[in-house]
Amino acid sequence: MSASANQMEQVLDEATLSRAEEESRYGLSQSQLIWRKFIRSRMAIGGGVAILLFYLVALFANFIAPYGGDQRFTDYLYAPPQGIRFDTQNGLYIYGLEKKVDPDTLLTTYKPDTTRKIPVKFFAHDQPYKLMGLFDTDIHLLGLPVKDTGIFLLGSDRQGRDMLSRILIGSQMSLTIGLVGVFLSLIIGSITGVTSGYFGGQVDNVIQRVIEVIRSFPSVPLWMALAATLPQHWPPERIYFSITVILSFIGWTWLARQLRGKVLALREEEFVMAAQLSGASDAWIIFRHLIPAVFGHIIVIASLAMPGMILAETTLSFLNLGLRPPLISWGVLLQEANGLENLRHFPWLLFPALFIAGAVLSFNFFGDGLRDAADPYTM
Amino acid sequence: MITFIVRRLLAMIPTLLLVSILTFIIIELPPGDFMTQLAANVGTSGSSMDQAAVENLQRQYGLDKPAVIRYLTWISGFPRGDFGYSLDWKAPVRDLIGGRLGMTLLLSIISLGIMWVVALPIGIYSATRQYSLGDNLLTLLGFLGLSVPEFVLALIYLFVGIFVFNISVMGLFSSEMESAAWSPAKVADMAKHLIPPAIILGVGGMAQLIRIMRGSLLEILGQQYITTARAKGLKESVVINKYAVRVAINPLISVMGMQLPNLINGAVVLGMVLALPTIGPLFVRALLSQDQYLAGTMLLFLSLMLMLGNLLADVALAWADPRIRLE
Amino acid sequence: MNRNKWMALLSVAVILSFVLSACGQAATPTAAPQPAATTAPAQPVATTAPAKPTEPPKPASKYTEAPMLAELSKAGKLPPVDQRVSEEPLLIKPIEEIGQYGGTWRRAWKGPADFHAYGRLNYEPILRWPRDPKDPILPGLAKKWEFSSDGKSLTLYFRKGLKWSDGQPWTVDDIIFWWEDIEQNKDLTNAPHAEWVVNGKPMTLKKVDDYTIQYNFDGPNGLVLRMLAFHGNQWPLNFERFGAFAPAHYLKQFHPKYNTAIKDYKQFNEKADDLNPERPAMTPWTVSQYKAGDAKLIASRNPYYWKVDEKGQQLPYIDTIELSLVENNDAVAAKALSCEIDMQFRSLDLKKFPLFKENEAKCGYRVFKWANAQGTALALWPNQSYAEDPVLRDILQNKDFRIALSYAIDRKKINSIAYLDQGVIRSEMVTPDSAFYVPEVENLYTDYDPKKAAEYLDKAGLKMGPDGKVRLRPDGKPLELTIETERTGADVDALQLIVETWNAVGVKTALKTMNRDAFWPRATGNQVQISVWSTDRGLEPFVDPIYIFPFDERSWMAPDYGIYYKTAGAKGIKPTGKLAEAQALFDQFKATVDPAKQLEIGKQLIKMSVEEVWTLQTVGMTPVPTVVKNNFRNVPEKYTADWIFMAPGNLDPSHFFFKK
Repeated sequence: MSASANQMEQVLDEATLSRAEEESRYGLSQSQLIWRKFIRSRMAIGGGVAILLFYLVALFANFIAPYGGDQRFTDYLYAPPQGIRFDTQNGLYIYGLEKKVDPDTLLTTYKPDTTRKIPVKFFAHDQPYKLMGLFDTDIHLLGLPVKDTGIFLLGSDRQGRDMLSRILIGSQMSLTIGLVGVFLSLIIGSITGVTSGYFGGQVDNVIQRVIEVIRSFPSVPLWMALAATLPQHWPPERIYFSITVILSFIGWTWLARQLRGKVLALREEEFVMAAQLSGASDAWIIFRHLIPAVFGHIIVIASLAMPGMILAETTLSFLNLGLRPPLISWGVLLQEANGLENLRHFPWLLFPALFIAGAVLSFNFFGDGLRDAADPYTM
Repeated sequence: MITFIVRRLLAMIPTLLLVSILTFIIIELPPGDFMTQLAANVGTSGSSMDQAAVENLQRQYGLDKPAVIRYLTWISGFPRGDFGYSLDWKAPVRDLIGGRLGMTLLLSIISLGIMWVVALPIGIYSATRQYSLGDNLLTLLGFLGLSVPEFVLALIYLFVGIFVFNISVMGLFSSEMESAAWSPAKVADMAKHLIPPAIILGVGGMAQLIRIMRGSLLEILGQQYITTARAKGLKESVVINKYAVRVAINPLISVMGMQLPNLINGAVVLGMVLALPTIGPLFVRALLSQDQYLAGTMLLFLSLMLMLGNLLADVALAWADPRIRLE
Repeated sequence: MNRNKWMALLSVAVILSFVLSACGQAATPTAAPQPAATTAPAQPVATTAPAKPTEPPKPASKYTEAPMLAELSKAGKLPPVDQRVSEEPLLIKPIEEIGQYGGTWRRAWKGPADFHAYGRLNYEPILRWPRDPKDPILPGLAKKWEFSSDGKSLTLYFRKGLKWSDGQPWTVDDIIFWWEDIEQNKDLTNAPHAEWVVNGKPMTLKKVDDYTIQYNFDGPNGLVLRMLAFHGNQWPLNFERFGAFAPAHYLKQFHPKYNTAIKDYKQFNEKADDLNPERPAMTPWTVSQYKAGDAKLIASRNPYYWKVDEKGQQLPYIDTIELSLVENNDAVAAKALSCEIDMQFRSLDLKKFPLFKENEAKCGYRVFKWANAQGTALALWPNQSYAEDPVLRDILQNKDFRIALSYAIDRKKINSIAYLDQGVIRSEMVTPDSAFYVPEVENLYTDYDPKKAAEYLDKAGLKMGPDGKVRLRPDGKPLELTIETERTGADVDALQLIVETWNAVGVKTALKTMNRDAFWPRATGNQVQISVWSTDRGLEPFVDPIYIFPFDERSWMAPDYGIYYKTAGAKGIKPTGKLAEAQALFDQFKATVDPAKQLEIGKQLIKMSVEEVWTLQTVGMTPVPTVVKNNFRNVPEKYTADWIFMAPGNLDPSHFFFKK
């Protein structure tokens, strides 16, 4: 990325400061200022709230989902989404499903069976799971009292698995892989960037050259090439971790560049000189003074990187180079939705795209608002 | 100006070399090579390629030499225009890449053009009617485009195209036009197949362009010389289009450069979904079949495209802002 | 730099990319052959010019030819048709009716790696597979053959006057050239293929005359006829590199032995390649326009094709074949849906069957359900030569254990999930229309019966462990299995189902998926406990009997035993019991040229293979959707597609035609 473009963005950020803020900023602490600026943007708040919701849902996904991610109803392959109805006699209920196979085209279609009303139960007992990975339980938010058919609010897939359940459980993978990737990028990027800016000279040169080489690769092809190197018979957990490493392979360079710039400026500040004079080691200065000083910036960049990570995992898994079944992620679900016959006859398989868009959108709003807010002092 | 460009070009060469080494290492990492892949495929069709046969073929095609020698053989061919041999396609890499690279470039350029043409008026509209319903709606739409993965948009387009409108959406030409001679009709056919993907590609960048255009224009509209122009009685449309927009465009040029990586990435994925003859599908195939020279050359060229794109963006910026040339 | 220069630069960039892509895309306009879409057969030209008095009247031609060839032969550019079809052309009886000349057959392929999309239509071996698998092998380039009384020698008689597609004569020298300078040339072929080697000794060829040749083996070669039908084509068939003849007159100039200027075989390989437009062939169409990355591969009719129909018309009827290059199966399906495919079944997935059916009226085609020649579409092999864990190997060798595993597979559900309920639940290795079909073993142990599975597991000495979930091995450890596969999609769904049902009866199972090139060396290297593949070769299993008994390293029921058989004891582990019996039986099969005896032994082997449950079969004979335009004729509605028969090769694609 050209350095001149960064400059351009900074110029714009400065220009949007209002006069009133210039006055009030002298009276408030940094975090108070940031908060004030932040809540002025409704979209940013909306984004933040949505993100919280997403992660809450992911945490309790197994509970909210009516079924397990691999629970099959082999009599109801490709069932379309069902709606919950209400009447005073039965309360909340759904219709049963009547299956019809066209003998000529072999296409399976379903019609609601209006003679069969199945009441919807709350806190139903179904497939057991570990809540938050710790507690064994089998209570689900929604369920049916019968076991021969299922409640398919978003339809079912080619094995008769409930789409809603799979999307909810897939959110756990998709939302955390980004976090881990961003976290890795943060660690590597912070240390490298701050070190590079602090030491300058040869160290700086070498690190900058490495960054330049890595940044010369377009990200998607590079990820694809790296993903192709993973031995395919690895256990899913190892593949998951390797994918996060691959995703952060390029990510850390951006952070390193940004931090380097900040540190170059900070280096001349007096508190650094004071620390050096009192005999603090370089490592001490880096970790105890410089990194906390740019911490706000780190957070902003982290939240701006999340959408990219989510999209990256989705793309890689869609191309069959990232996560694979039996792991469940939004990318894997979209890969299963790929195919002309799916688009034509079973379009509900594309629902994960809505969730992806929602999550990415929320992160975009949130990160945007954060970035606008996090620079109340111009540096 | 020229010295600026030349300096940057010269600086690119060592970077390119390092990139080529890194590329080769990455391509080499997966175990085995094309021949071991082949043994697996051949074994299913009534012969078995045993180890000796595999080694025979490896020797014939030079795959048994150590990695360093193979790298040097490969890279030394570049100045001559020899990029190695593709075993999957049984042809020199050079024959396969040219058209594909050109197509990827074409797609990106058309996409860039569309982005500009659409984003500019929308950005101006948003800025002049700040906080109106239209402004908020457009911002939301823009962000939506940013958030939906491109291949999903492509899938939706596929669906609508094939099943609703019954048009030919996959590939570059309809069947009749494919081997016909070049004619206005053929160009129109190609445009019909290229424009929708270009739009899909550009949707994400459009959002950013609109925002920046809006922000930049807003800043300028607050300046004093604009107030002066208005006070002097100039028509509002003249004020905006002739004075404000002209200045506001400058930051967009640098943003355009930032779009290039996204376009290249998007073109790769889009090409796969819509089966366009771009780099994407060829690259994935080469990766999966371990067609090493083809995959490596493509990765290298993609990086080159990126670097040149950044250079172009910087040149554009330098042309607009003389201070940069001094760096 | 001012704005104008900048604009100029930008325009140059745009134009440059246009040009680059155009170069990649454009087919040279002038080279496209003229598809002769004549609507009427060749009319005798009414000459208005006076006939030259000095020319003697020509004798009436015995055969007729396509109009575009008639023009060329009239102009003197081609010899008359009678001289082109050889003195004894092969007569093809039509599947439906006599055909008409003309038309372009459009198909889709995915590149040179998808070579079979072209190669199977253009497959001309020395002998041919019959249309009905129960019939004997038919003449091809060879018109008749006979074995010596001891079976050690096979004499082949070829059609006199056969010509290559460039007009040069085809003789048995082309076979000898292949045998001496290609198959026995260590620089080109590692070692002669097993089919030409008996008792460790390669065969010797003896030329009797230009059209007669003798194959001499060290002992009776019961497989040679099948091999001449299966591998009797022109070398090299892409990377698969087998064949039985090659154009000596064309290739000698690139062969280092005959041309001292040539130092290596790089050019030889390129020139011999099937997609080289310059290379002469014996097939109905030859590649007329193709270079790597072209959007279309075009093949045009071969004027020297040696087959005729009952009316004496020289085949093929269809003028050209056009293969459009696409990226993946979805793109092939898209082509079919936009009516751009005339007849194809390759790369069409069963899952898309409803989609194709829906478009029948719009595109004017029919969708056939051709059966795959599969014993089963999804087969699992417990590895009985598994070396890394002797206790597990003993368990896998236990027949009761394998029966139990078979009872613990829910084949009905697999049929639903993966094959649209269109497959047949069975255990037999061959299809009912095969000559080797044994009805008694069609359905052994194929019910889903967890109780019976538990019984057999107990019988095998694998009692349930204390936790009631996993059974214990004789050495006290829990019984754990790993299935490894390179399958994707619906097959993996089916495998996951198997994992669940096996777990439910106390056999702790895990599933590992990987790419083919990661899986293949592991499976052939005896490292996998349970391998997965499909068992095809369901019509003619003994050309390559890897699924029937341990034949070589691809027999994953016991790869190391297979290696023992293949290397005649040099490598691998010596098998015992029934597996060894099977190998001995096949030796007998190979050593007799009596078809009746071969039938008997073959059926015995099939029966043994199924009864011993060496392969766990699930659902077989799954249909392949076949798209055939309504005006594309001579394609049967019912057919079993076996790749050994190079389907649709044994239907004589040269006699398909467009009905006007």
